[in-house]
Amino acid sequence: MNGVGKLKRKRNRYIVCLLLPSIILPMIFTYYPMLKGSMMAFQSYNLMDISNIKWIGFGNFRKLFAPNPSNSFYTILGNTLKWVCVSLFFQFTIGFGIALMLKKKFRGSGIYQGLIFFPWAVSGFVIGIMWRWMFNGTSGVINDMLRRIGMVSEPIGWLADKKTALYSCIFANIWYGIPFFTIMITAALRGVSEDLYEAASVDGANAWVKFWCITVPSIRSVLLLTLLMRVIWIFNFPDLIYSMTQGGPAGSSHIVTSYMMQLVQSLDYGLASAVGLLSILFMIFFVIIYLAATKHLSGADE
Amino acid sequence: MKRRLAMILALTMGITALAGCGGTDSGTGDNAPAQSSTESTAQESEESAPASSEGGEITITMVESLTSPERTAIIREIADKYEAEHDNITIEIVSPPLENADNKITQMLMSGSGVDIVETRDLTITQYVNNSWIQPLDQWVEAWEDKDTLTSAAIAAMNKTGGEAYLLPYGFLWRGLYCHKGWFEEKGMELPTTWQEIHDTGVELTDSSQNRFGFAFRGGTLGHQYADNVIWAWIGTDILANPDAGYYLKDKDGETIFTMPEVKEALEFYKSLYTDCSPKDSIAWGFAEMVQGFVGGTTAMLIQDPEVISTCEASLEDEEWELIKFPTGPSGQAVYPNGFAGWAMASFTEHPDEVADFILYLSNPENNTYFAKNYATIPIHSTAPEIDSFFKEGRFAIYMEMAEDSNTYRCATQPMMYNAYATYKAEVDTMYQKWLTEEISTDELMAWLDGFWVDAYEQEGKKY
Repeated sequence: MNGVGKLKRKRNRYIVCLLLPSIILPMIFTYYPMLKGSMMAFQSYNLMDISNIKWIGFGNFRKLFAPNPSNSFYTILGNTLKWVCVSLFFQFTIGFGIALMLKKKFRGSGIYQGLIFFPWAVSGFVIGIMWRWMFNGTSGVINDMLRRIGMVSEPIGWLADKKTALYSCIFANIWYGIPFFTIMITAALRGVSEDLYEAASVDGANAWVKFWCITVPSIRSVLLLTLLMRVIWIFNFPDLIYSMTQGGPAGSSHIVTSYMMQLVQSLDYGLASAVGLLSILFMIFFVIIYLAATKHLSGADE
Repeated sequence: MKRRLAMILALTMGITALAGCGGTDSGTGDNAPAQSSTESTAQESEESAPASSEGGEITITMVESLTSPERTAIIREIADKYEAEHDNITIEIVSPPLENADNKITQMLMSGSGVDIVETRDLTITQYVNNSWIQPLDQWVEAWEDKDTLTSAAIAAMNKTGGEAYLLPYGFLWRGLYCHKGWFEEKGMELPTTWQEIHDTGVELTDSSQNRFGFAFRGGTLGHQYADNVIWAWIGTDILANPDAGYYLKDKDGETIFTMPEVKEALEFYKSLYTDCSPKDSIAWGFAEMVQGFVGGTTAMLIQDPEVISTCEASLEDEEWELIKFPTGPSGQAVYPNGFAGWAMASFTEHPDEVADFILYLSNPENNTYFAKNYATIPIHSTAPEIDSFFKEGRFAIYMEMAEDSNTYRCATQPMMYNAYATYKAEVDTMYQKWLTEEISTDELMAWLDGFWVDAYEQEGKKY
């Protein structure tokens, strides 16, 4: 009896030892900075003068939500919603479409696949700079093409106009995000048994029915998970906006995270942390709702 | 059920971790890599520390802010020369990527080790002095054999912050007006000498159907500096309390220039530059677009730093373009920022004497002139034109002429000594863009500018 207990204790200690690295590393590199950042959100923490740091309660948050006309935080929240929803919708539908087309092998499909996946391998900032020059109003290639095919007579200042700046960034983001869905969904589709489709054909099902009754349910959990991940990634993806417009003109294309970058540049780490804390809260809230809403759906998969 | 709960928990945690990476972390998270990299340099210097007690080996670590590969090569060349003369000293140059260099440097300095010399700019010196990250160089400069040939601009920049020599400038960036000479000749027009002439000739040269415009307007980051140049050209610098705090009026106890009718007139003129003779797109233009606009043949005129000279030389024929003096305004003055940067000594360095010696070596007339010629800055020693005729002849000569005519050519800067400046710099361009796109009126813009600096004065007191 005693011997068994000893063995068990020894085994438990062994398990704890194995687990330690995976507990300690996130503690140091994720949870400590998060905690420290959350504390900063309640401080007046300005790098211009770090000898003068003090607790100010909800002061930073009050500043963010101050109801004066020059406060752009409300616009930024709206922009974030557009940025996430519009980007996600097109990334997903186009990515899904390409994945369905890639399911069937054709000549050169390997090369085509490689080309499709290419944007995903490039850094967001590089892509941003590339699109910034393409959208340039005076010497950009997009205006040039549109002019050559006669769609516009005067060059359009894509990134210089408040109406188009954010959507230009979203366009670039869609281009950037399609490969992710294509990769994930192509992989998932490979796992769907051909037998099911054959059986459905025997039963006289058309392509539409096959899609809705076989393809979608079979890869449902992949779809749900990739959507969830992408929402968080797109939300946390200020790279494009920062390199394309820096939130301009007149702050009209800022999203929450690019705005936070701007605050970091202005050395007001307190306010930046307040924005950061809010965005984490948004995300947790979103994840809980999303998981609750899709619990039933993913359950059906098992 | 338990399994599902565990899964949800795990997912939530994973997601917070993900959000954490891009979330609050951007504040602190940026720290992590920077700190670890400074830790590694700290380790290196620790490793060399025991050696120093034995053979006197010293490593001086120098961090650059305005990095470019060409410039690093020039500094390396001078450092190699120094190392050859001093057997026991190794100089290590750290060059963080330009875009985020100042943030990275801040984090390195916060960690309090691993840096001996830091490139300090007019934009960052207040922060470094406030936080006691850099120390005065007075005692070494006093004993320096070359101190007598320093130009007055160099001495002014040296003592500008904190009343002591917190940095030794390596050069100045004065702006000039770049023109496509041929375009003016085609229309039979003279090159402009005043802001008004820039506007008038600019309108003549603008033909949007040909994608040709008069002026390379800067609406993006730091665009407000151009507006300030116009404002100061309208009111002159004599009424300012201090040209280094160019928003405050003389003897007026914190009143700003932004209530003057002349400033309103200047701002409206500035806006007409955008609406009448610049590409619509230029509201988003930064340095790269402006230079591309000029060199690529979209705009006839460009106001920029001397570093554009080499770009123009590389892309345009010699007779196609001209660099002329900065334009004057109704006050009769031409006012431009006295942009500078220099070398400063970290307050926690372990070898202050050696570090100071190298800073002075970098800044001696020969090395500074060599650096200035290759990096296109205005040198800090008055003997530079004698050392290298480059500064007497050629494109650079206009700056020497400007320096001689101090009645007309004046420098002024935003009140960078105020802590509020960091916030101002991040917000003001957005306000200007709102104004340029008619979202707010000129009066509203001026009220915002006035309010901002009156507040700063109330909170921080008189700092100029």
